[in-house]
Amino acid sequence: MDKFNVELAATIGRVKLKNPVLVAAGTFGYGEEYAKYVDLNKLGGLIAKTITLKPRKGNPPPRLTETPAGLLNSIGLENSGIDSFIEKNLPFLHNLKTALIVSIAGENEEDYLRLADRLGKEKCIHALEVNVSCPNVNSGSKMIGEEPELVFSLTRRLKEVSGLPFFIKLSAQIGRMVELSQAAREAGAEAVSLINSIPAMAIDVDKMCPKLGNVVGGLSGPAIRAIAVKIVWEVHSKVDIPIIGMGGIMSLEDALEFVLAGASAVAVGTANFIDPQVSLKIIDELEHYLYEKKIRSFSELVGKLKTGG
Amino acid sequence: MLHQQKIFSPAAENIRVKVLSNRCIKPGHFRLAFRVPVSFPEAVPGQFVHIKVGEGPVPLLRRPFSISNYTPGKIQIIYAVVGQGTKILSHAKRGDYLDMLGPAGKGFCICEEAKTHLLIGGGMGAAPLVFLARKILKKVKKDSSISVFLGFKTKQEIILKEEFAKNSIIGLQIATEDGSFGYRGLVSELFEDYLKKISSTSKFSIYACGPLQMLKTVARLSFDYDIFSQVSMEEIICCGVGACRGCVIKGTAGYMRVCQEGPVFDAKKISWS
Repeated sequence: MDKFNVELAATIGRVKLKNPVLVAAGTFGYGEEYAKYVDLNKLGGLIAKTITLKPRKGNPPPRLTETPAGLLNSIGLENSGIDSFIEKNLPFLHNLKTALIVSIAGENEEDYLRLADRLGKEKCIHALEVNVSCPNVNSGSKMIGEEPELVFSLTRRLKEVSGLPFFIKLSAQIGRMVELSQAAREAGAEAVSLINSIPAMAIDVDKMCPKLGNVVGGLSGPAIRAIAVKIVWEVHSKVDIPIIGMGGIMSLEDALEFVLAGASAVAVGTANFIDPQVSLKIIDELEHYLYEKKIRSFSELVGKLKTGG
Repeated sequence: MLHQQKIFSPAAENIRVKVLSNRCIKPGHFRLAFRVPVSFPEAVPGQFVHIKVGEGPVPLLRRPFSISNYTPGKIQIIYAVVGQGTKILSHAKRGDYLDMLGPAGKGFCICEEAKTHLLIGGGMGAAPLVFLARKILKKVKKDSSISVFLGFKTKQEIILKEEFAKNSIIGLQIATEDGSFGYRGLVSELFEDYLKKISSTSKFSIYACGPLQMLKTVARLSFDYDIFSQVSMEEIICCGVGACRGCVIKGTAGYMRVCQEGPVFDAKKISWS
């Protein structure tokens, strides 16, 4: 076979990525923290840590504990708020030559709309990831990401305030993922990000108390991967919407599981904490894999899972 | 009362390092040395290295170890086997490679105007203090003194006694909880007894590393006696670069990241209640 160049570019609706490997929200700060360790410009995209309208001090410590092959966290969306983000973090992100996606969260629909309105005016942002499923925020009312009607209504209204593409980030609401993704699609979301960390808890039996200061948290890492892959596969089979697959990706093999199940792009999360370079390694290995498999373009691989023999 | 003049925090590097030795210094305790490039940022006592101990995914995260010595080209850590991560690390052999991120965080600031340096360590908290004592000896004037107070559960658990004792300038006192060696009781009690006998504590400086309860007592004593004190705090450290905000502790002005603003803090900046 002749030498040929492999095309790594990925497409998520209107968003074009130079390659399909992103870094997940909350696992890469605002990029700057990792700039010394990783050539950020080589990433397919960077999803900046969730920002809210007002500063949030986050949950009481301890905020982390390790479970078998998993990381349980209750950070609680600690961030300095949108004003600080625009003033202090955006100038750095603006200079990056990679897709910038900003994660946003609110306590109610109005918060999201105001965030989208403000960020929609910033030229360097390629898309907004709408975090409607953070397990660490208890605002008293029902999480938007739990109800298809709320997802539909929010997405519809977001599209009225900003022309930016919206990726709706959902958690593992067992049994409702298809419905929720369908609602996002019908309201015009560009994509769904599947999945957020899964609500979970761990107990210190010696002290007889929860291991997290917030009692409960969100589980991420390899422990949740198989659950995430199944959800991606299920949504891809039933809903016509691009998917950004995430949940415990540590290697190329893990990333490929998501892609074959139907993800148009993937996001590396927890693995960044262990190896800041892991995303770049996955990108290099993906190119090699496509070459070896004689696949010219990454997009040919999306959803190519063979089932039924 | 003396103050902290500056906080030293060179940027960390993420590199593969070669293990030079990994010796068992007593049952369950190891001293591991690894090579770093000569260009590697100079490590300060109190800073840590964040090591990927295995291939994962169990254990998943890196493990932080406080640096117990740095000389150009070489870093040393001392650790006890307490869990899965340290157990795996104990099997590392000379010539093996480790993925290391460091030197991370902010270390102790040596208070140059101080005449009396008081180092208090509980258990493995003694490890960074060896490095610190060495640095203080190099840096400070001849008329200043160093007193080291170490606490352990039993005589069997005592570590690094010889390292401190071999330098005659250092005054070393040891407490064991069961009284099997030295003072019977907690190191914080030993330290309090010492302070009670002192007439003036001007130009004193405290450096402490150990369990939270010990640090709490030392901090309270430092406030009572009006002595500037630095404490090394512990939390589960995840990213080690300040991105995840997982390792925070409560400070008087809000949450602080142990991996960035710490692990060494001015005791006054911590919310102790």
